[in-house]
Amino acid sequence: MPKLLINLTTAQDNPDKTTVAFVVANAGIAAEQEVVIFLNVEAVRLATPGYADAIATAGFKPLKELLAAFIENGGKLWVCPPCFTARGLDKDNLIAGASFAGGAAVVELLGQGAASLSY
Amino acid sequence: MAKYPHLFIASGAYHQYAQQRGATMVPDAVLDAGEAGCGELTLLIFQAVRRLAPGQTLEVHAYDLAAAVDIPAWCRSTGNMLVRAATGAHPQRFVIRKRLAIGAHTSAQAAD
Repeated sequence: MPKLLINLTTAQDNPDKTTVAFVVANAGIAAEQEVVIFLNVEAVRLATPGYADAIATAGFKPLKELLAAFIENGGKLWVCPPCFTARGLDKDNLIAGASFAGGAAVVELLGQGAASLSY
Repeated sequence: MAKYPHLFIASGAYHQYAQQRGATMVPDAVLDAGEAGCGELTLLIFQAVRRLAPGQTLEVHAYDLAAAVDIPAWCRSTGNMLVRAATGAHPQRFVIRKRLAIGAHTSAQAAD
């Protein structure tokens, strides 16, 4: 199965980029690809419950719906631990589909031939 | 937990001492990676393993939330062998055996 890695660094600070990243991720899911979104920098906040609810941008579904569809259809969220801890977030309260993974896991996925996009 | 990462290379005398005290598995080096995570953690491991001879072992102590994902991934990517992973411990402890030669990719893992 083809693999797609989406590198996402934004959250509420840039609703447009954040939303489009999930739209493209869901296109990958629809194409029956294995899709991972690597949440790093500000994007780690998306792995906390309720945070994505406040994000919406014109022309697209609210992020809450895009995120739910992504997870329900097998998409994975990888959360960068240092970025997460640096923001004082609760490591024991991640949303479903999110788990901690860092640079080595990302590099391994790329080494396996995953295509990548960065937002 | 070490504030800064620390690498301890065991001497022959240390091995003899540990074996006399009944230790069954004495690593050739111990890396306390402290709070290092993401790419910093595996860079420390890479640097530590580079100082070992092929076949020698490195015990890594890590507090990183993704250590249980990243260290096995690094081993698979580089062909070094993960021979032990105690991910429920605090800190988490891993034992890595340096690959015998470049290109000799092997992997095995025993989690406890």
